[in-house]
Amino acid sequence: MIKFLKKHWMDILVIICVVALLAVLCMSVYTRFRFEKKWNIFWDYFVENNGYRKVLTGLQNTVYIAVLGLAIGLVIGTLIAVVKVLPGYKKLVRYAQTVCNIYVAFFRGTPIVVQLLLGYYILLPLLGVQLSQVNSCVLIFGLNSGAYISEIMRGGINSVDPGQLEAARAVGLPFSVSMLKVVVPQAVKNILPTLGNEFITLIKETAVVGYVGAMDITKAFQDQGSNSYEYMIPYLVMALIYIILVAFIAFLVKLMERRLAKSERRN
Amino acid sequence: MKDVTENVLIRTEKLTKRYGSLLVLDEIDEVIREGERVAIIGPSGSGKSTFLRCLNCMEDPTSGSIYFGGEDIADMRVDINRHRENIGMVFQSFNLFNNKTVLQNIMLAPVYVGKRNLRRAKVGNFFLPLTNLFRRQKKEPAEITTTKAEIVKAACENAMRLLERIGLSEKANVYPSTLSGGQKQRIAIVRALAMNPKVMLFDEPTSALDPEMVGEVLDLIRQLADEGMTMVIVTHEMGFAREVADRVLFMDGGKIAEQGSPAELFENPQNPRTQQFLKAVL
Repeated sequence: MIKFLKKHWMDILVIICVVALLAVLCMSVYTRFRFEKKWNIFWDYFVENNGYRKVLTGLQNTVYIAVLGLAIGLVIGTLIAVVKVLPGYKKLVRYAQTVCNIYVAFFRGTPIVVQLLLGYYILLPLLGVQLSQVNSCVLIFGLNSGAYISEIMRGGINSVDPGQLEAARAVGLPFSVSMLKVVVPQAVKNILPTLGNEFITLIKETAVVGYVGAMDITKAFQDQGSNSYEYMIPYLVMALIYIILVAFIAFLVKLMERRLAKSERRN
Repeated sequence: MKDVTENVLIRTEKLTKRYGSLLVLDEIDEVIREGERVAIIGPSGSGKSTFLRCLNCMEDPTSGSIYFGGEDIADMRVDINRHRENIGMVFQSFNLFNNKTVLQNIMLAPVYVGKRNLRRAKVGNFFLPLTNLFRRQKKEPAEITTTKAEIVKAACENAMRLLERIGLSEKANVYPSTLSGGQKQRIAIVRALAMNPKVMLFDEPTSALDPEMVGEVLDLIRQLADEGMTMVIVTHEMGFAREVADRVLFMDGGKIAEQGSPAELFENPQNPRTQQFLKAVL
């Protein structure tokens, strides 16, 4: 017994300290933060004063921006990736590649908030384009994710056996059709997990659309917090909603992967 | 040699290919006639595969010309896709489209080409009143006899006929990853046949196969040869080349070192390099 104590007195001390600290923390959280009161305030605002409506709009906008942004990003990203893998025989191709490089450098090199501010307050008014806040967010997020997806897609296209493109060209299909029907579908299958990751990132990045006044989950709960002077529970609920969203997307990606893998299975 | 101008299908003129400073093809003048079966043999790195791949511009030649269908297809301005429809190609590594079933593999190109021609005819007819304003001789609208559904149906029937021919019709709806090498290569051959090509190019069709499966692929090629299909075969199967070919080309160092009928070339080679090569492989 004494031997044991002599050997482990340090560990025991640490354990006791940690347990004591935790206990103190729990006690103070319970007494100082007054959960019950906070929960009542939250419930009051959230349900009885229709706070949940704002949250539902926010949820809808978050999903809307992320899904449409990903769709735009996929189109732009695929186009850029195809331009980048073209053989640079012609001058026009090389110019297009330079333009694509500049595009990717800009959108990867600046924070999304900066792009939002630039786009919403400067570029769109300059061009005279009238877009709602949410739709301008869709546009900017689409352009932004296009830059990231182009790099993912380029890797995917490079991972497809060059013989596939050759065979498609050899039966007389033009480059564009060979890419669209043969190479890109195989590339997408290879990069699907990475694309799912990109979508998850996109969903979480939409938390900054409040900067231009668009209503999303974050903005909704922030508003609720500042209206009720009570932030803790709204923010915790907000985090929970994001986690559930992301878990749901991860599940969908898994399903799609399994579906697309059918060309590899024996039957 | 026979009359050079008669029934010429492909003619190369001073065909040269360089990779950087490496000279792969050195001013090759060669003629492939209709109905002819040409085998190309030679050591590794002699340029025989490159020569074959130049014939349908899979590799763009550095200089020289390739005449096919009345046009110089080495010219970058020519629509190469239109000519490739008439040149079937079979690869060493099969290259079946992994994301498509066997049937879709065979139907892809015929359906695309059929739909494209239909679309062009329709668009042409639509703008005919406008374009005829600038023509002295007015043009009649193109006759449209088919629909998209009919094109797909015809392509599907043709594909099934081809699959039945090679005895793989029950594999129509499986993906290529489930097939053996020999099956894949036979499907790759009928995929090229589905376009009704004027000439077939075989790039070492049996080199990636198990010895057991070489026979079935060679049998199919032999059948095609008996039907009078024009073909150019790069091969290491000397016995097969000797049996099927009308003419054998021996390539070395980017040139055609010697050519002749199989009997001449295999029994009585003139070039010392050919003698050396044949002694080593036979």
